[in-house]
Amino acid sequence: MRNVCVSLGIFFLLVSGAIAQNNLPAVAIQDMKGGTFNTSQITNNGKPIIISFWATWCKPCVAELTAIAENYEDWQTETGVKVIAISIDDARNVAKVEPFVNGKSWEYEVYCDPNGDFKRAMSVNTVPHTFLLDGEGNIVWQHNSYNPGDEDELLELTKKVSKGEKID
Amino acid sequence: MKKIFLATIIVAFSTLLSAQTDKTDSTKTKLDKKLSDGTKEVNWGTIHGNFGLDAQYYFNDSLIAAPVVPEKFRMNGFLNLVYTNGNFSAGLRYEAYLPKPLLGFDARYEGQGIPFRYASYKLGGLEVTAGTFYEQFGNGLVLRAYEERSLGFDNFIDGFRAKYTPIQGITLTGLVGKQRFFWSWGPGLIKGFNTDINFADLFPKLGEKKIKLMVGGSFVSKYQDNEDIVNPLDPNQILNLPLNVGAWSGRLGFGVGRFSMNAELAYKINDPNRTNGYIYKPGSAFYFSASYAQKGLGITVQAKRIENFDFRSDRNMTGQPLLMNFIPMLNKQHTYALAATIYPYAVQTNGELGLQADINFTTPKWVAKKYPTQVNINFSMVNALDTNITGDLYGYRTDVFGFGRQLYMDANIEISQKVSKKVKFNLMYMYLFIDKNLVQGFGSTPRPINSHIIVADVSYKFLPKHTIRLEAQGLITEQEMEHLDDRTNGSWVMGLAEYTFSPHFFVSVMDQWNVGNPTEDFQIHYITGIVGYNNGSTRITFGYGRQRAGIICIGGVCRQVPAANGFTLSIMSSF
Amino acid sequence: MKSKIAFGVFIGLMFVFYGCDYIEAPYATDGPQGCTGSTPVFTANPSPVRKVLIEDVTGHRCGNCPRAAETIASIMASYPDQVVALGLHSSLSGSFTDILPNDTITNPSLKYIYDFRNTPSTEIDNQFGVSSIGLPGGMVNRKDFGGGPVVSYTNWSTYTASVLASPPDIDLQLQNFWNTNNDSSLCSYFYARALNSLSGDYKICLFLTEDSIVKWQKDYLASPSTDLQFYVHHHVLRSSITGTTWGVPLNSTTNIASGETFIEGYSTKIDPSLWNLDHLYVVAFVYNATTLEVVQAEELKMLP
Repeated sequence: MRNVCVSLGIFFLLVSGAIAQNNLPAVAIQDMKGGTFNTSQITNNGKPIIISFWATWCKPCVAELTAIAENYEDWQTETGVKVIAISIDDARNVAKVEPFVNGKSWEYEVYCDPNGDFKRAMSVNTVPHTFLLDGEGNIVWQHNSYNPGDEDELLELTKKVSKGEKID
Repeated sequence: MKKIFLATIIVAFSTLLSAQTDKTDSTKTKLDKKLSDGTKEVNWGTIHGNFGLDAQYYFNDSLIAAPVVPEKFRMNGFLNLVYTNGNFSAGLRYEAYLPKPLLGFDARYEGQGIPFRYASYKLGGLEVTAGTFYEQFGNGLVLRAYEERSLGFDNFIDGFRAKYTPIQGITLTGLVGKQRFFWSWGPGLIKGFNTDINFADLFPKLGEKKIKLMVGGSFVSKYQDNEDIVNPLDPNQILNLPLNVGAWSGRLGFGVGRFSMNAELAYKINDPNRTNGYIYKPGSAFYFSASYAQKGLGITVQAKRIENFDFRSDRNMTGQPLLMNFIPMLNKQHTYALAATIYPYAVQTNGELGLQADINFTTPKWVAKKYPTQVNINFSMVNALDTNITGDLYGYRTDVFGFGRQLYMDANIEISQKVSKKVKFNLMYMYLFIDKNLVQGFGSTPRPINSHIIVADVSYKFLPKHTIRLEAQGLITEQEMEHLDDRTNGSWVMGLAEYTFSPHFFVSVMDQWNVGNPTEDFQIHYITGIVGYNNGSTRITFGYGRQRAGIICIGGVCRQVPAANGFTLSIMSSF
Repeated sequence: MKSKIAFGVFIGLMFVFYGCDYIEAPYATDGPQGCTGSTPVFTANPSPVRKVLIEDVTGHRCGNCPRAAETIASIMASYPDQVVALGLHSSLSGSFTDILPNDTITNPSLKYIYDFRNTPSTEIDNQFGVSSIGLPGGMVNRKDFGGGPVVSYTNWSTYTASVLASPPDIDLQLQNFWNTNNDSSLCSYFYARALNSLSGDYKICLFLTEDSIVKWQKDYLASPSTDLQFYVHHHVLRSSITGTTWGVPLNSTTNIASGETFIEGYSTKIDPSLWNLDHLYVVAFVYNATTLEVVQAEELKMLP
C-alpha cells in the first residue's frame, strides 16, 4: 500500500501516520433486534476475527459474505476464525437485516451500525471493507472492495494468522 | 467559531493531562507497557484516518447538455484524522473542493478548510464530546445528523454532546449545537435529549428467555430568531412565528425468538416553513416494522405515515441543507443502474403513506440441487395523504387512514443461483409505477409512468482469481410524446462487461442507451469505461465516459445532477 | 457521586434547554397597511436640522430608571425640538417590567398592575441586549460610540451633543390624519428627502408613543416611600405603525441620490378606550439597515 502512496506523492500525511491503528475502538452499536452492543465486546478467545462492513443493498458485499458462507464451516474448523458482519444499513433497511441474514442462511455474528459511528471510527470509506484481526485483537490486514476470488486470499491470510505467523 | 475551537482545545488538553495521570484506568494500564528496566513507556496514542479524492476533467458535450466547465478540472477531496489515547480522542476533517465542487455537488461547497473537528473523552459511563459530531435518535424521525459523502450531504452538529450510561441497559444523550451549512452554520440552535432503555440488559432473565424489549424517547427542539415573513395568503400580514419548535418521539422494540417488531411515533408542533408553505398544522410521523426470521427464510413488513414532517434548523431552507431528521424510504434500495437511477423515489417529508413487504428465502437442502436458489420478493407502494385544504394558515386536515393519489409502486423478484463452482447468475424482474412530477417535485401536474425492468447478471470464474461478469438490463416504458425535451423518456437498454483479476485489478465497460426516446437526437449512448486497482485499504479507479443527467434523492429531497463528459480519477484510502 | 452529578446534568439538559412555542390562530398579524385617499402635499424644509433618537429601556419597578428619564428631560431642554425619545418596556427585563397581581389580598394598594410591555419594545431590547446588560440603559441613535450601541444614561448627553454636531442628511417630515373615515384609524404620511447622497439600504420606522401616562413607578430616591403612585411616564412606545419593529425599506436601489424624495403613508387602528388620543405622538426615524444606526428622527403629535 505504501508504494502506491509514495509513488503518487500526495500521501505524505498517510505515511507519517506510522503509528497506525491496531486495536478496535469502543463504539456503541446495535444487535439485529436493536439492542445495544459495544464493539469492545468483540472477542474470539485468542483466535482470528474477520470484521466485514456490508449493507443489504451492496451487491459485492453480499457476494463476499455469501462466498465465505459457502465454506464457513471449513474455515472455522481450520482456523477457529469468527466472522463479524457489520451492517451499515440505515433506518430505511435496518429492519430488513435480520430477515436478510436468515434468508441467506448466514451463520455470522451480525451487528448494525445505522448512523455509521463504527464505520467512521474504523475509517471505512466505502463498503465492502474487510478487516482481519489476530488473536490479540490487532488489525493485521484490511481490504476495501470485493472481487470474486478475494476470499481465497483472505483464507490464506487467516490461516497464517491462526498459526501466529506475521503478515507483510 | 474561534471561541468554540479554543474551548475544544482547552478541553482536549486538560483531558489529555488527566488521562495521562490516571493510572487506575484499565485501558491505560493495558496500553502502557512496562519496560524491562522498570521505567514506564510513554503512550503517545494512535492516529488513524482515511482519505478520498475524486477528480474530473471535463469535455464540452452539447448533445447530452453537459454544462460547460471553463476551468476544465474540478476535484472533491477530504482527509479524516482521528487521534486516540486511552479514553481521549480528537479528530478533524480537511475538505477541499477545488477550484469548485464536482458537477452535481452543491456549488456552495466551493472552498477548502477544516469544517469538522472535535475532542471527546470518556469517564466511567459518561462520554462528552465538544465540537462536531454525528448523532441519530431512534430511527432518526426527530433527529439524525449524518454524512452521505457521495451525495454531498453532510449535516453534522457543532456544539456539545454528553452520553451517559448509569447502568448497562440505559443510555441518556443530551446535545446542543448548530448544524453545518457548507462552510458556516445554520441559524437555528438545536437542543436534543434522548433515552434508550434495553430491558434485556436490565433484567438478565429476559435475556435468557430470548426476549428483547427496548423502549426509547426523544425530545428535540430548535430555536430560530424572529423575522418578518409575509403571510402567503394575505400580503398585508406578517406571520406570528414560533421561535421554539419542539418535536418528540416514542419508540418500542420487541423481539421474541424469531419475531421482531419496532415502532416509532413522532410529533412536531406548529412549524411554518418554506417547504410546507408556512402552514401551522402540527406534524406527525409513524413508522412500523415487523419481521420473522428463521434459517433460510426472512420476512419483513413495514408501514409508515408521514404528515407535515419536514424538520430543519432554518425555516426558510429548501433542498438538502439543514435537515434535522430522516424519514426512511420504504422501498427496496435497488442497485442495478436502470432500476435505481432512471425513476428514483424521493420521500415526501410533508406527507405520504407507505407500505412494504420483503421476503427472502433460500431453497432448502432437500430440494435436489447442488446449490440452493436464493430468492427475494419485494413489494412497496407509496400514496399521498388524502387532504382537505382548510383555506387558512392551518393548512389542511387529514384522515389518519385516508389514502390519496398513488405516487409510487414497485413489485420485484430477484433470483440468485450458483450453477457450478465457476458460474453464478442473478435475474430480476420489476414492475414500477411512479408519478414523476409529484415525486420529484417537477410540479403539481401528475405524470404517471409505468415501466417494466428486467436484469440478467452472469459471472464466470474461468480461472482461479479471474472472473468475467456480464450484465444486461432493459427498461420498457411507453414514449411520452408530450415530454419531447426530456432526456429520460422512453425505453432504455444497458449492457455491462467487467473483468476482475483478484485481488488487485478490474476493468469494466458500460453502455446505457436511451433507445426508446421519442426525440431521435436523444437516443444517446452513455458509454463509460473504468479501470481500477485495489491494494489493502487503497482503491484507485480511473475512468472515461459520459454520465447521464439524473436525479439523486436523499432525505426527502431530490437533486438534479447534470450530465458530464470526461475523465474521472478516484482514490480512496484508509490507515 | 460522579454518577449523581452526571445524572443531574442530564435532567438539567432536558428541562433547561427544551422549548416549544405553540401559536394559536390567528397565525398572522397585520403588516404595514397603506393609506387610502390622496397623498398630502409636503414642501421641502429650507433649513432642516438633525434630530437624535434616544431609546430608554426602562421599567416601572426599576428604582434607578427615573434617573434616565430625568436625563432625557434635561437633554431635551438643552436641545429643544432636536431630541426624540422612546421609553421601551421590554418583556425581557424580568421583575423590572413584570406586573403585580390585580387583587387586594396580595397587593392591597394595587400597585404595578398596569402592563406597559409590548412586542416592539421587547424586540428592540432583544436585538441590542439592553436588559442583559442592565437597566436603565439604552441607545443614542443606535450608534456605536466605541463600546457597542448600548450606552449608560450618564453618557447620553455627551453622545447627543456629538450626534447633533453634524449637519442633517435627511429632511424628514410627518403629517397625521386621524379618523378621516370614522373607523378609528390613523393615517400617517412621511416625507424623506435626501440632503446628500447616501449609500446602502435604509429603512424607515413609524412608531406610536403615548406621553404623560400616570401610573406607579419605583424610585429609590423617593421618600418616604420608594413606590410613587402618580409618576408621569413619558414617551412610552405603544405600537408600530409600519407593521413591525423594524419598519419598511426606504430605498429600493442600493444608493440614495442627493435630492431623492420618498413619500409614503401607513395606517393603523387605535382603540380610544385604551390610550389617551390627546397624548399620542407619531415618531419616525430612518436607519441604515446594515449598521442599524439612525440617520434622522422626527416626531409629530397625532391630533393637531
